Amino acid sequence: MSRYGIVTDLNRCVRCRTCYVECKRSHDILAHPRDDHHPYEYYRLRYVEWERGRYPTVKRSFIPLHCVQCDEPICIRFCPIDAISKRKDGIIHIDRGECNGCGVCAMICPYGALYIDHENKADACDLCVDRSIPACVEMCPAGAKLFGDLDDPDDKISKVVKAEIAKPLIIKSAENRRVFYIPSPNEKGWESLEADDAFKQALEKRKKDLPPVKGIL
Amino acid sequence: MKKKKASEDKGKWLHSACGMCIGAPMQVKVKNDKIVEVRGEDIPDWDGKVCGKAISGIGSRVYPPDRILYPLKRTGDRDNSKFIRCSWEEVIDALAEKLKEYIDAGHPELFEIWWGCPYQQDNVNFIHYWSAVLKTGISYLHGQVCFGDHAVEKSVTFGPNHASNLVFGVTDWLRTKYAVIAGQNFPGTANNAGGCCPVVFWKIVNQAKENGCKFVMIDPKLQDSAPWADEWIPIRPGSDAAFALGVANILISEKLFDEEFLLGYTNGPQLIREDNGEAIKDKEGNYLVWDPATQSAKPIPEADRADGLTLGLGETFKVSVDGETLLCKTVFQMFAETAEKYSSETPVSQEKIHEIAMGLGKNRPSAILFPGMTSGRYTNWFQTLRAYSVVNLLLGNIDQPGGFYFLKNQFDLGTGWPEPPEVPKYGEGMTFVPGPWGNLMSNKTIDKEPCYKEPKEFHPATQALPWLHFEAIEKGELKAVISSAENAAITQPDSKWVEECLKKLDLLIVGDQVPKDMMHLADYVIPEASYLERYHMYFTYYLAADDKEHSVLFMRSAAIPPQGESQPLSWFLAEVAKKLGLGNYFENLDLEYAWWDRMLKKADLYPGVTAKGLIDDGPYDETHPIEYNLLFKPIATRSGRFEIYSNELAEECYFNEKSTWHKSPYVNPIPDYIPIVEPKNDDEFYMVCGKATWHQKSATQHDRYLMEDAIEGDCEYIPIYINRKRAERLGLDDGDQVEVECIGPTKEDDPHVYHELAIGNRERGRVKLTEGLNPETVWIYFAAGHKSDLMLEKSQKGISANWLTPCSVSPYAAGPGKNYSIVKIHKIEEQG
Repeated sequence: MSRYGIVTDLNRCVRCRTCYVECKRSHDILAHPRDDHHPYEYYRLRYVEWERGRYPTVKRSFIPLHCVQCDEPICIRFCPIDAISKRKDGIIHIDRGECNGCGVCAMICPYGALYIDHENKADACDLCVDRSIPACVEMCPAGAKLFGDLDDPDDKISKVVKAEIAKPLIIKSAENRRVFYIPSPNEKGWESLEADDAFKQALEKRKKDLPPVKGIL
Repeated sequence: MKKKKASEDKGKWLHSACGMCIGAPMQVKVKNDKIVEVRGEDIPDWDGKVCGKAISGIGSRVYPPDRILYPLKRTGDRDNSKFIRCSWEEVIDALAEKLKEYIDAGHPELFEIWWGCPYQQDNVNFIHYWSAVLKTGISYLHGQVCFGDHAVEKSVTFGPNHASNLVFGVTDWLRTKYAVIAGQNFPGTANNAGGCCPVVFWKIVNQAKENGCKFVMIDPKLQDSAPWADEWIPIRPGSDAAFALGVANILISEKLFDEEFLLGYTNGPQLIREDNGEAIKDKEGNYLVWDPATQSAKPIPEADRADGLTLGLGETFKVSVDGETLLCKTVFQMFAETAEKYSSETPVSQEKIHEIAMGLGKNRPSAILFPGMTSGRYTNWFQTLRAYSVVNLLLGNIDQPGGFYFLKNQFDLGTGWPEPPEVPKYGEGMTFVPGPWGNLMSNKTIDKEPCYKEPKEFHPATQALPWLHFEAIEKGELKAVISSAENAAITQPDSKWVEECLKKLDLLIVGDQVPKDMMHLADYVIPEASYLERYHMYFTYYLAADDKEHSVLFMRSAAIPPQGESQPLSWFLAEVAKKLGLGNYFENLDLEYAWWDRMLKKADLYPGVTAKGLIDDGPYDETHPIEYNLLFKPIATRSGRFEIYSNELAEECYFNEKSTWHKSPYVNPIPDYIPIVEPKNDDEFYMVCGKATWHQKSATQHDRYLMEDAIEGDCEYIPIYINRKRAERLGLDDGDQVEVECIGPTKEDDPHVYHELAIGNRERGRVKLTEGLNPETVWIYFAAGHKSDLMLEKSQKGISANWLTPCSVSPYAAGPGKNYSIVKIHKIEEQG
């Protein structure tokens, strides 16, 4: 079976937010600016953005982040009602009928990739399983995203991964073999990103968008 | 994986156009009478793609929950406005009644149409025609804030034939090796595409980067898309001209300038009197150059002739004219002296200036220095633009491989205005002069009158003189306004004053699809058809990644009927005219097809290309090979060459005793550096307002998709950015609430501050600390501080830059000084 994945080239990314908007449109995810009345944001794809260095030699890093389809997803392990599973093709599946919106998965995910939607259900990127190409890849105006079969040696995506030009984003040892990035000079030291305090803080900020956990760990 | 292409879904794809920033041909999928999806056209370089603004427009402008679907009438006064539904008939009657009153009194100009972005506006040509028939005022009010002073500078330096390509910095990107871009949030706001859609731009500029082009950003802030570039130079606001002159000084001292280009295409060899700085002329009025062969002066030859000329670096010449011998220098020598004089005044280090100059000079002509469009703009900006242009002339990069490029294949479309016998004669007693977008305007309109008197107070290439309209309201010379696709109440400097003026209008009608700042002041709000519910033909010219010049025509078509009772602005104006008995000018006009077909006929494209064909079959894309030929049109300056020393500025302003600007350094014919006032104390800062990548236009300010994520920096609130070290000195931390007070510039600080009403204005917001900001600056984004409580709560957060920016006007170019504000900040202690 094919192993589909996404590579995002951060050198080409112009930070235009098209992937974010197109993801929301194509999955009918509620759009409403966060404010005092709507404290939570709904998203399958969001950005982690942070600064490094001191003025004037500062770098600003920017990663469009979505579910990386971990090899051994912690969300599946911790879901108290087994509403999350892996499909045969390895893509994470959330059973909306079963999900009770307890929020454990979203809270525990090291990537902050899950969220609780406005209907109180967990949701996350499934690489657009019902489309031939994920919406974010298809519409990226900067040509910064590639989609293809990582097990097909002739596919461009597998070539950049094999050549280690594209690298996985590994947080808390959550091995994944489907979502890769080509770092730009702004993301120097990609492999040790996890140890970067600014990155950790930026990632942690995403948790502010989650309602309080209602389940029991 | 399930294989299914979006284009195979049920529903019908129609050809239309995006209206969320600068226009793009776009396909719209309509299913069950509803737009469900958009995609780019399959032409280079859209290749089926659109950007996030185009996608969000469907949910936020066509189908938002707060779409204005019916005409609304204000109840209560303008400070406590409430709106109730009314009929179109009532609004039509209200405007017709006012117009009749004004026309009967012989003053139709008491009413004006204010229009904004041509891509968001209904039929730009029709509204000018309507204004010509009714002899009312009309103004592209926002055009001056957007690019008016750029248009003047490019016209002064390069001549009107070559100005437009350089305003938007069209660049031959596939061959560019070194690019320095200032004040732009580059590549996010994408102006170096000739005013073309960013989708096209992002493809080619990424190709340039992969080809090895080095990009350097000059901006007080490391803006959201700027880290895409290789390097950031955090310039101090207002010091750009010193930076450019510093670069020029190195280019000259290191002999990295293009001598052949300067001799052949610029007035660098022109002789200037040493005693008074005026150009020397012969009896016939010719400008003179030095001929080394004969050791005498001769008339400046036409462009392209470099032989027998000298740049005269370090030399002085004795020139005999009418029996008098005068000491002269060349323009180039005069500029070299100016560049040297100011070279050390830039706060950017000399090492960095040297590095950038070497990067530009060694890669000439495939290197550019572009001044940007957004985060500059002070009273010295006209001279700053001139300094930037001269650096480009030193590099000889005008219409050269890898330099700026002149698009040479533009359609001569005209305006489509109908002529008798289709309509009765109109315009009698009026003198028409060129207006925006190829239209015509009366020379007696507020915007044009100062540009056509002797001597000219402002240059005819200005797009509008906005402050004069607000002043006219105060004087009772302007009493009624319709505002469409513009938002003067927030986009014009000193917008608190603007708001006070707007409150004095007898009648204000505001049209749009969603709430905006003007609306709470309106007497009537009219529900304008959205950009996917009406018709308009557009053109776009650009270089694509296929290394060809593209000239594209496309039609905005009504993919769906206007929602609710909404109607295009043109329908409303025509109905008003009919009420006034002027129906014979409007009732037989076909605004869907025939208007545009008239333009296609003028361009000799009809019937091969028709408006209906553009809708049925999609865009017309004409491709041409790239051709470098900068003399494809004559250089229409006074010397017939690109002007380092502006003979126009010299004769029209600087040496003209009758000019308002006589001897003003702001119109010095040689680019000058005029420092702006500086913040003095620890709690004082320059305040600059920029544009985020996805918030370029008023179309996005009330957008529930685009306002959802942070403006940038993963900051969930709408912030005032402040340099971390400066913030810590003031005891400020992320999220602290501050009060920001405008304290300058005053008239004493700067002679071109028009009035000081903004001084003392205060706004409150929350700070965000950043390392990516010049320490002397606080920064906000245009998507902040909206005043209307009808707008999204998030859009109202933060501070409004224009509320805290005094009205200033630069001489001749009428630059709006939209980032010229000095503010004082202090922390607001909050309970709990």
